[in-house]
Amino acid sequence: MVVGGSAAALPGDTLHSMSNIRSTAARGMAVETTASFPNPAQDYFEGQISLDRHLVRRPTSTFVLRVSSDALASMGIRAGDELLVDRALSPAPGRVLVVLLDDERRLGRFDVVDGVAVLATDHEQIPLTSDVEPWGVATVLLHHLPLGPAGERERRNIAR
Amino acid sequence: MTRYNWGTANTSPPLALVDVRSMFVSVERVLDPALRERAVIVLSNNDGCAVARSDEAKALGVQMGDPWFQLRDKPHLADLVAKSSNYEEYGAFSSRFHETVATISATTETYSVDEAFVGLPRADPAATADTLQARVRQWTGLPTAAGIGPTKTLAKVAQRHAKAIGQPLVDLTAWSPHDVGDLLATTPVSEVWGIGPRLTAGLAGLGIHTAADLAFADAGVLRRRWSVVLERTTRELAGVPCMPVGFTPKDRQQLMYSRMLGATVSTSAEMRSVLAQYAAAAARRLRAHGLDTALMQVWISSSRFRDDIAHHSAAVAFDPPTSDPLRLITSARAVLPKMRQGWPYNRAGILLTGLSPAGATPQLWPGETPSRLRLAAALDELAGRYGRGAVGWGPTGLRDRRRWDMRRERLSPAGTTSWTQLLTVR
Repeated sequence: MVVGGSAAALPGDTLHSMSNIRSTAARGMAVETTASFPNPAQDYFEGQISLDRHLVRRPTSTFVLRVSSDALASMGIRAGDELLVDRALSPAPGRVLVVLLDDERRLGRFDVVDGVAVLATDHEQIPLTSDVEPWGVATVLLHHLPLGPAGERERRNIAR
Repeated sequence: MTRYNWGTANTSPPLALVDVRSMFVSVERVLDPALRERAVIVLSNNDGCAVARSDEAKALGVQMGDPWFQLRDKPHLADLVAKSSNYEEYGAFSSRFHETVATISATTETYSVDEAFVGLPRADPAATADTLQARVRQWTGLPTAAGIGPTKTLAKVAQRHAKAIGQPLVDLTAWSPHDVGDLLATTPVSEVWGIGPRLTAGLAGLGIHTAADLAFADAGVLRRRWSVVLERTTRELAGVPCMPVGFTPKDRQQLMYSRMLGATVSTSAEMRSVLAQYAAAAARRLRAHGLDTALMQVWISSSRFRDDIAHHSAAVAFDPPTSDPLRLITSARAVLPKMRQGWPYNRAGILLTGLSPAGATPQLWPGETPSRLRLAAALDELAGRYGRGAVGWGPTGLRDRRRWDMRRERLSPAGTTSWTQLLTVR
C-alpha cells in the first residue's frame, strides 16, 4: 500500500487508507509519511525494471531453453540465443513450438501446409503426427547482438 | 463383523493427496527425454544407493536402498541408468509442482517435496483432481498419482491403491461403503499412513492386522495405550476427519516449520524477518536432532485477494548438507523476489528434506547472536558485490569443490536452475 497521498484517491478511499495506516503502524512497521508536499513519483516507483516480471507471465510453467541450432535463423533465432517457453500454452498455427521428437527437444514454427499441420524449420517440414509431442510454446526470444572487438574490451574494463 | 460405514463422510468436503510419481526419476526424465522409456534409478548422497526407481527399474528387480556398486556390474542391469541426486533441480521442480497445485485449489498443504494435500469441491471432486493432474503434467512435465477420500488417511489409502493398480486417480468418495470396507480389509495395517513397524507389531498383539481392523478398533483404547496420533488415524480410517488440510503431525524424514501469521504481511522487508525467524527455528530443531539438510523448500501464501491466492515457493540445495543457521536464514530469502508487493500474505513455511546425520561438516555455530546476523548481512553484501568466492565463513569460504564435498559423478546438468547449464533445444 502506498502511503503519502495519491492524486487518484477518492474521498471514500481515505477512511480505508487511514485505517490501514493505523493497523500497519500498530504492528511496528516503518510507515513512510511526510508532512511536506508528497513526491508524486512515489506512487509510481516500483523498483528497478525486472525482466522477470515483464517477460515471464507465468513463472510456474515457464522454462528458459538455450537454442543449439540455426534451424529458425530466418526468424532471427540463432544458436546461443535463449527462449522463454511457456508450457501452459497450447500449440496453434503461427506459434513457435518446442516439441519432443526422437527423445530430443526440437524447435519449429507451427504451419499449415496444404491443410496439413507441420513443424516448419528453415530446412524441413515435419508433419505434426502423434510421434511429435508438444513440449511448450516459445513466447520471448533473447537474442544476443554482436558487440565486436571494442565491445569485448569494454566488457573487460567494466568487469575490472 | 461390523459393517464399514463412512462416519461423517457426507458432511465433510473431500480432499486429495496428490503425489508426483517417482519424483526424482520423473525430474530426470523432464531434463533428458531420452530417459523416458528406460530403467532409471537415482542414487543417494555420494552415489551410495538407489533412492528412487522408475517402474522399469523395479521390474528389473532393483530394490530401494540397493548399493550402486552391487548393481553396476550385474549383466542383466547393463541398460540401467543411474543418476546422482540433483537436489537443485528436484527442489526447483518441487516448487513448480506445489505452485501449480495452488493455482487450482485455495486449500492446499505442502506435505512433502512430492506430495500435496488439496481441498476439493463437494460436487465432482474427481473432475477437479483430474484437471489438477493434467495441469501439473502440462506445466511441469511431472506425472502424478492421486487419491480422494473424506479424510487425509483415507486419501492416502486411495492414493496407494491408485499406484498399485497403475491408475492416475482413485476416488473413494465415489465408492460404496461396502467396497471401501473391502479395500481396507485387504490393506495391511503397516501400509496405513503413520503406522510404523513398531506400532504394527504392537497392533498385531491386539489382533489388528488390516486397515479395516484398525478402523473398527476402539479409538479410546488405542489412545490410552499408545497416543492421540493413533486415535486420529483410527477415526480417520472410519471416515471422521481429524486433520484438516494445513495441519499434519510431525514426521522424521523431513522437518517442517510452518505457521499462520499473526497478522498479514505485505512487504518483503517484513516477510524477510518472518522467514529469518522461521529458518532460525527450523535450524535449531535440525541441530537438536543432530541432522543436516540437503534441501530447503520455503513457501509463502496469501489469503484471497482480488479474487486470487498468491502462493510462491522456492528451493535451495545445500552441498554439502548443512544445519548452519546463517545459511538457512539467508537461503530462506530465495522466495522474496516472487512476492507480490501489497498482497496480504498470511502463511509461511520452511520444509527441510534430504536429512542426514550431522558430522560431515564441522560444527561451526554453537549458538546464535544478533551480532552474527549483522555479520551475515555484511557478508551477503560483500558476496553480492565481489562474488561468492570473495568472502566466506571459516573453512567453508574461499573454496572450490573440496574432497569432502558430495560425490555426484552421474549428475545431470542444472537445466532449469543454472544459466550456464540451461536445457537446450535444437
